[in-house]
Amino acid sequence: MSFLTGPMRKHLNGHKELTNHEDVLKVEVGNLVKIPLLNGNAPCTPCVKENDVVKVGTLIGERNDHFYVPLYSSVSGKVVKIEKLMSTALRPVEHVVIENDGKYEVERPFEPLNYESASREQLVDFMKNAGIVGCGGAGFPTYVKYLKPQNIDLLIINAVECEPYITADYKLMSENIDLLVTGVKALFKMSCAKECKVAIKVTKKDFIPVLEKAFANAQGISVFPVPDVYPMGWERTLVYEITKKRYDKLPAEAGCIVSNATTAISFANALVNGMPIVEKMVTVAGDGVKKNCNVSVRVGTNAKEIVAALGGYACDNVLLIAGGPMMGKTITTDEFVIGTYNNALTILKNKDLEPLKCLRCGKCSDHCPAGLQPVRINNAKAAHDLDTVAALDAMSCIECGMCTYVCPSKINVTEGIREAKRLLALKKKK
Amino acid sequence: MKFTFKPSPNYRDSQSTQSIMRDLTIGLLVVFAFSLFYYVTGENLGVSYALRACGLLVTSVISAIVTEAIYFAIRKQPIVKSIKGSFGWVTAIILTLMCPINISYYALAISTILAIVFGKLVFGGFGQNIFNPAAFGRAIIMASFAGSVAVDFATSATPTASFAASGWLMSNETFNSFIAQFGGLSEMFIGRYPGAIGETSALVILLVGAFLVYRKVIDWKVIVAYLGTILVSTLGIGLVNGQGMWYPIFHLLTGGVMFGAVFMLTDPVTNPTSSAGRIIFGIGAAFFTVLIRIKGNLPEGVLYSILLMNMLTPLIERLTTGNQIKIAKKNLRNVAIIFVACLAILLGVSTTMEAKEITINEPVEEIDGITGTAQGFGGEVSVTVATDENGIITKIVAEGASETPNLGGAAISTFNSEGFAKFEGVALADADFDTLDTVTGSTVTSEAVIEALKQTQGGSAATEEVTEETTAPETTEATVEEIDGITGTANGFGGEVSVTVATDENGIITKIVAEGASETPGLGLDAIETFNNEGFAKFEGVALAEADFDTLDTVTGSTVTSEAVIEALKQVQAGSSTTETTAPETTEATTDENAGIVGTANGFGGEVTVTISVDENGNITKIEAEGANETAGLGLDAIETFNNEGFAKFEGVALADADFSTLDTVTGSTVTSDAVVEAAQAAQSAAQQ
Repeated sequence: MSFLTGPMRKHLNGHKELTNHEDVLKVEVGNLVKIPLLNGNAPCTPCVKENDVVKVGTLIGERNDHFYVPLYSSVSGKVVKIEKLMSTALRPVEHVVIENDGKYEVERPFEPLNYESASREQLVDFMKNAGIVGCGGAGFPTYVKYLKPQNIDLLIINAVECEPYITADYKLMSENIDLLVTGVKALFKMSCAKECKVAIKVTKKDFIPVLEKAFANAQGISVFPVPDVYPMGWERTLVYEITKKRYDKLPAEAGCIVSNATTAISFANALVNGMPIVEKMVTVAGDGVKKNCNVSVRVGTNAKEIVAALGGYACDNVLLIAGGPMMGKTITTDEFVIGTYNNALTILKNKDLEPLKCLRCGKCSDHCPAGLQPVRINNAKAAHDLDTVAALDAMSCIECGMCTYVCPSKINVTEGIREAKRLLALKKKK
Repeated sequence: MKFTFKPSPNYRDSQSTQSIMRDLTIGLLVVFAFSLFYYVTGENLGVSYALRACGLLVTSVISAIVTEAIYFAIRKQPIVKSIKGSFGWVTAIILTLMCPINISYYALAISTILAIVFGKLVFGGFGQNIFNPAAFGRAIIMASFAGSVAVDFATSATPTASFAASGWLMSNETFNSFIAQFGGLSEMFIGRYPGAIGETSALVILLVGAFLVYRKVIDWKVIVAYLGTILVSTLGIGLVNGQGMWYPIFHLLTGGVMFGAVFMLTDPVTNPTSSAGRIIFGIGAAFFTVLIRIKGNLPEGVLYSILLMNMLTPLIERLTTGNQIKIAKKNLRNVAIIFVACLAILLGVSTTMEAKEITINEPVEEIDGITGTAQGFGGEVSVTVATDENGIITKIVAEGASETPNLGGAAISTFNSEGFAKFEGVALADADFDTLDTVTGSTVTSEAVIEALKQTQGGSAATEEVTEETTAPETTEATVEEIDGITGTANGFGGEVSVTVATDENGIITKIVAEGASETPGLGLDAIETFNNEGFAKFEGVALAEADFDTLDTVTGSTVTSEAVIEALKQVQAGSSTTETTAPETTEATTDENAGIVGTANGFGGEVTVTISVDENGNITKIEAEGANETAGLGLDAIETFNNEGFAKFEGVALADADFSTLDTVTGSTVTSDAVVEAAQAAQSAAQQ
């Protein structure tokens, strides 16, 4: 019934060619390594104190609310201090500052595990202790999805990477195809699903046969090409594309579990090598940085060091974005570090846009992947009509940025909806 | 180094509102270019029409921009920047394309200004207006400037107006001849037929529409919902009323449907923002378009359907409030309910449709005569009066293509079919046109008709302001030299041709004058003039009895008229023993109990007497005419013919009921024949007294 809702997605220029075929550059971490005590938006508590000696793999922090996520050191050296610094969550959080001794001595926090012989419960426990988080950008602890899989028909491995500019997943997959296969098989086992589909954009013509070959002997696992549109990598859009099912809260309602391809690789790395996430593939791209390519860095490397390794900024006024340009946030300093779930830095020249009046074209409504009517939410917000804002289901907005992207009048539609959501949340509190 | 903060996303589509408006402007100009092509190449049109179209477009665009400049200056806003972001020229172009070519510059400029100010700026400018500003302006023109037109740009009846006058129903046969006037449905699809400047070509509009949809400037859903609903509903209406498959196609092609669908209904500002809402919007607009067409007083429903739906837009928005995925079923249900309800209402209403007698669709009868023109309600009204050689009105035809169908248009057809009849048979000079029964509700048109009639009477027949269908011959009555002499008549091309030959006492021809008012101007009439000026000269000084009229130099291209002149000349030769005497028009009737009722009238050579015998019931038993002084071989023969044959048909008929004007007159003896009829009528009226 797309004629009643609009397409709810759109092809955008991904600029993937900027970094797709560039070699991965290894950027060494500096003397002072700062590891954010952060998982998603949730703070973590430190497990080390000043002057503690740590090695690669030493537990340094934990998220310990309703989820458990351990954080591990990516270097060896001495803890200097625990300091509040700017983070990719766009607010200052505590960082463990480690003086890097440059030796990278390893202390395995856990032993490797053979996923074929291990039980499902063992695997889930292992995943929890390895601190595997969703690498799609949000950093959601992965084990939670696999705790009690019920009526799961399908495991979807999300290798869509629909944010413009980012090619980190693609690079990591093409360099670690064996780990990918291992990780996917392990996740497939944990999911209890009947079938597994690896979703990848149909435009990755060269890579699809490689994947198909890699999974040729894996029973129940197949490659599922999806259209090159945004936000194809969003769970709901992806689940709908593959199963034609909608769900209310969790994909499990539609019999699906969705995990990112990089998550699968990280998990496999833990299973095979007994290592948590200490290194990240990060795409650095945009017209604001001199060289565009993927970099391989240790967790805790700061953006300034990465940009410097790539020849510096291309102009004096840039938008430094942690993540892709659609959902990534601009950060007003480059003194922030790459965490376990960061995958990109997009650096764009700052161009000012002059917004015009809304012409009510409805493109934001037609393209909203959540089925909202952004223009009307904004108008209702402007009229302080919070009842209508609520009736328009503003809280379902995932801030994918589509409405701002398509707006021909260059209005910051998404930002208006964020405000509307804040107002609704405030009203609820009262 | 500066790291700027901006909320995500920091990525924009290349399409901008400016590029949308640019594409739209290009699309509209393509449609306009087709109109120019049509005007330059079209029949009875020409470069002057194309230039006028350009002039109108420029007038409207300048009016719009100047209005906005003044407004922004008053509001102390940056003028150039505000104008660039207000897109007033798009409104101006759309408004111009919706207007007829003969709209006055004044009306277009005023309505553009009002559309910009009251249709858009007072609501808060671009993006805030409730009504489509162009539609708003068009409505102002319809309400206030319908008559403000340039008279020298003739517009013929549009298919929509003509079809509307038929009550939107037609038999298949009538439709075939009706649509043939416009070149058939295929020609209507291409767009070479009379209509608003930019609304005629479905082909061009659809192509431009496809381009704009491809460029994502307009939403195809509105267009499909609108055209689809019109198609389905008119198909149903056609089936209910026994119309052919052409019926829905005609509905789609005629009027502003295509233009409205592509350029007006898709106007984002006045549209619902959701997909479901826009589908409902399209269905509703189609409903009002068809409803106004089949049941409204207006000939066309597109314009007001747009304005009505603009008003309903907030309501539709409210109906589609919510998460579009979660309320998809509800939306689908609403769309289905609205569609079915609209269809049901239209079909139900259509059962009460009545085909009206098609009036302005009938091709205007072409007659030769004197034409007068006057300003009616919608444009020029012309009246052509045909007379016989005696100045007696034989036929009157009025025409006024621009008059409002159902009102002025209907009045004109009433005049043609009934009102004028009473003047037929009356001498043009004596006719009192003020007695024409005017049609209620169409005072302006009626008065224009009377004025035009009086013009013909005054001999001031407007020869310059002739509309296409009628031709005004020179008023030959005025120019023909009146001479005394022997007159002969013969049938020419358009009617009777009479030739009068004057002789001196020795029978030598002194002057020949030919007359034939009914001959074709430019052909027969010219020929007669040539004869009068040159051809007859060679016979002057020749004895009438000896003149060889076969040697008259005939005029090429006017063989029939030439031969009629020669024949008339020979008649004169043959009957040269009698000379015409002009007697006063007197009729007498005496009742003779023994001989019957007698009526007399002046014939060619003298008095003609008709004696009518009746039985005790008043039925005619015998009619006898007598006219001893009529020309032998002509008038006398005619009288004999009447006695032997012509009168027979009246025998057995009640005298009171007999219509002697139906008497078969004898060719070449018109005067005698008329005298006989007149005498018979005199007898009749005498009997009644």
